Amino acid sequence: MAPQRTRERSSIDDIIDVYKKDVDLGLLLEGLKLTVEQRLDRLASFIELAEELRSSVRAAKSAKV
Amino acid sequence: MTDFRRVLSVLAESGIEFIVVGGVAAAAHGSPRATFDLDVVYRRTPQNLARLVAALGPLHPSLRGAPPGLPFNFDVQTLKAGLNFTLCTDFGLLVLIGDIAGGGDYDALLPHSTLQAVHGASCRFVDLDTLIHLKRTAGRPKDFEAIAELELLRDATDRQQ
Repeated sequence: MAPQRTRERSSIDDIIDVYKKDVDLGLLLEGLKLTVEQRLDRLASFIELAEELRSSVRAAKSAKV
Repeated sequence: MTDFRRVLSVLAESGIEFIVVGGVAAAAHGSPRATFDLDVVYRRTPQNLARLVAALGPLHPSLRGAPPGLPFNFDVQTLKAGLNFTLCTDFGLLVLIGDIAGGGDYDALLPHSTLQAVHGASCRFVDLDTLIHLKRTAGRPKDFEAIAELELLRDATDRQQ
C-alpha cells in the first residue's frame, strides 16, 4: 500500500521540497536519539506546557476585565 | 487537554485492536511537531466494537463540535452505523477511524504497523513510509510541512541504518 520509494513525482513534491529547506534538521536528529516512549513523553510535556500557557493567558485576560 | 498516554493505556489494556496514525504516530517516529488529538484506526469486528464501547463509555465520549445537548449514544449500534468518529472524552480528543484515505481499514493497515511499548502498554503505530503515504493521500495543504519533515526523518533514519 505504501508506494515504492521510486514513485513518480507529483504536483505537491515541488511544494514539499520548498518546505524541506526550512526544516530544522538538528531538531529531527535530536528526536531520533530518543526512544519511542521518550518521544511521546516530549509531546506530552509540550501539550501540558501549552495548556498551562493557555490557562495563564485566560486568567490574565479575566483579571483585566 | 488530551492525555494521549492515558487514552493509549485505556485502549491497550482493554485489548482493543487499534493502530495509531496522525500526529501522535509522527511524534513516535521522531517528529517534533505538536498535535492535540489522538487518531487511531480501529478494527471493526463485533468483538472490537464491544471492547471500544466498554473501554471508552466511562470516559463520556461526545461528538466534537456538536451542539450541546445533541443526543449521542456511544454504543455498538452507533459504531456500526458510522465509520469515523471525532470525539471529546474525559481524557481529551480522540478520533476513531474505521477507514483511512490511502490506507484502508485496520486489516489493510496492520502489515504496515509496528508494536511499540509505551509506559507498559503495547501499542501499534503505523510505519513511517505508510504515514507519509497517508498524509500525501489526504493532500491537505496544512500537512505539506509535516510531510517534508517526515520525509527528512525517513532519510535520516535510512542513513543511520
